Amino acid sequence: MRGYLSGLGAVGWFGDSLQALEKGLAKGGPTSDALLEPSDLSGLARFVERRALRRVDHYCRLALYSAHLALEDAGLSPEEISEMGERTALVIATGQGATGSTFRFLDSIIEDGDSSGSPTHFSNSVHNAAAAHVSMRLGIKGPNLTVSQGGGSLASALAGALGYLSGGQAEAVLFGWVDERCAVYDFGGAHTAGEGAAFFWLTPEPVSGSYCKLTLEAEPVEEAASSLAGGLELALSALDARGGERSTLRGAGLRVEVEPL
Amino acid sequence: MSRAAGAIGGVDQIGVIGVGCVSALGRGLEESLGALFSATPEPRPPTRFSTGHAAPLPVFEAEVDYVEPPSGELMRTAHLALDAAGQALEDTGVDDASLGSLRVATVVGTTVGATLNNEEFYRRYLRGTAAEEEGRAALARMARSNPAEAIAQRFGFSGPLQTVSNACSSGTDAIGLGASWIRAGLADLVLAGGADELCRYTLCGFSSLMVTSAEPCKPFDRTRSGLNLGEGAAFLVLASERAIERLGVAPRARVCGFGASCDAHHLTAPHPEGTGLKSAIKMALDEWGGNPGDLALVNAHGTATRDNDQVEGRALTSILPEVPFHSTKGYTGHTLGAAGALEAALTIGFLERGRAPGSMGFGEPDPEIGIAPFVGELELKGRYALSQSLAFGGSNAAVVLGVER
Repeated sequence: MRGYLSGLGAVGWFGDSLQALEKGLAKGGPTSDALLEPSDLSGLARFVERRALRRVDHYCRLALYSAHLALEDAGLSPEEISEMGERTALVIATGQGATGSTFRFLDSIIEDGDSSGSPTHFSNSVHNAAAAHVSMRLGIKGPNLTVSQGGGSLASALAGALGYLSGGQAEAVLFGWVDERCAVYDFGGAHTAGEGAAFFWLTPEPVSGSYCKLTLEAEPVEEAASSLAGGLELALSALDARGGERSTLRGAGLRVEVEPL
Repeated sequence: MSRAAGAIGGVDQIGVIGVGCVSALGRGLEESLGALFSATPEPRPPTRFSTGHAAPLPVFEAEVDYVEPPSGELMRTAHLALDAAGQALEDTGVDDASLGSLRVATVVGTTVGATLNNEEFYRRYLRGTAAEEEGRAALARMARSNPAEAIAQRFGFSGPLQTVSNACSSGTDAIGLGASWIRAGLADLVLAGGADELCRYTLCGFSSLMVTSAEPCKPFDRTRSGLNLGEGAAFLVLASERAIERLGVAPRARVCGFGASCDAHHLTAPHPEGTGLKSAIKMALDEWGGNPGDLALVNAHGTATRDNDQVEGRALTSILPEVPFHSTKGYTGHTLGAAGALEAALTIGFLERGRAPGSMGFGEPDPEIGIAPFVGELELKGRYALSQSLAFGGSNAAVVLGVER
């Protein structure tokens, strides 16, 4: 399976620009203090009016912001994406899903009783809530997939995204990764990678502005290793590819080669 | 791409060489079909947990005790998945050595199975009485219980893994994605299916949306008042033509076509005109390449919620008005991420036997739907059937299945 990465956007503890991402991950990566920094999503207001975000939680806002940044980087307007409708697929990788809404729903039944759970928190707690909000915002009506495969989520979901391209179910794929910080997970020592989102515009052929070629193959799962923040690794690899560097990502029994054009 | 022996339509058809399932109907496809054709299942209040609702919400529990070993090392969802996956592998008749020579991938749909589902720990965390070690253990248990990971670990598979979290269409999506992985050459065999357990979280959640019924559910009925949750798991062993030849096995069914789409309309409600569902059905029919009139049956999502059944009825009226349809949710409850896989397994069983049970719970047509499921046992005229799922987030998925009969 193969495809071309033709637009990218990322938000997280490092900021909301590709320059900030490169700087944040340079020289051995961030400090543990930096990973605890919340993401500044104030820039989302450039793309989505505040009123439309009232019932959208932090997990979904991370995804929405990053998705808009990736499309902007690809030179595509939301209107152009909406016009593509069923010809675009949306695929999202998440290691842990909407943890904030999950625990807020539990809070609602613990505090108010089993008959008084919050329907808003419950409906936002499904792992594919981010895919739902992004597809609604951008009018993406093709195949819609959310994958939760732990540290291998990025590679596993990429197999779905490139599969839609190679199988002809989509002419392009908005592909992304999102995970949010959660105090309960921090308590269990899970968030060594911080929170963030990275989205990518994938095309079956190179276009003007494409960053790199992605080739995905199976490899025995015991040789695979990845981190929860696979999306940031892919974003950095795409930037490195512009400088002529090749890199390899692994996870979920899959190997992703990132090659310069 | 070269055409395989199983190709008749738009894409290569993928062989199904093994089937396994567990649900309130029982353990294994034979036992489940036996219960489905002979008994009148009724949902009951949950026995493994309780909720504070004024009247207990009835559910379809899997009445088996082997799914929750005393160690508690894995979540119940993982145990349900392991049981159904083991059955499906046994059904292939292929020995371990032969399996070990192939690239076996695992694709599983789930909702609960990919979340930190440990309310007891969370309550202690809120009270400040949980130890950090307990938090680490809860997260480690969740990681071990990832259904695709748990299956690969148990059976020693080293192929690609994917846990699909598309809410209630996850099981159907997993089958379609598994088939695409074989076509793309990522695997020789794919264990594709879904698994989900009943728990307080989902029961209280669906109750909060006011879509649960206090009575046995009545899919497509005028007086339907909501769904009953259920639990279970089902798996199909999908095989490439090369693997089928190498193993010397005969497929018992084929995945002939798959389609998926998104409404892009609402977080929890389907598009009122079913535009996304129609798109997914059309995509599946196009992949199949057969004549829609040759479909013997549609196994509908049919949850018995007001919105779902109305939208499905409109879509079926528009695209497949002459094809008999039913819902099996009245026998199993809504098993969420497992539903699409369980319904695909049952549909294969119906096609093999040439008969299908009526839509349990249906009695009175709904003028707003304008189309009614069949009641009483139906003799199937044809070798192909469609199974479809809708989900939170606007996801729709449809799969065309066929048998050699």
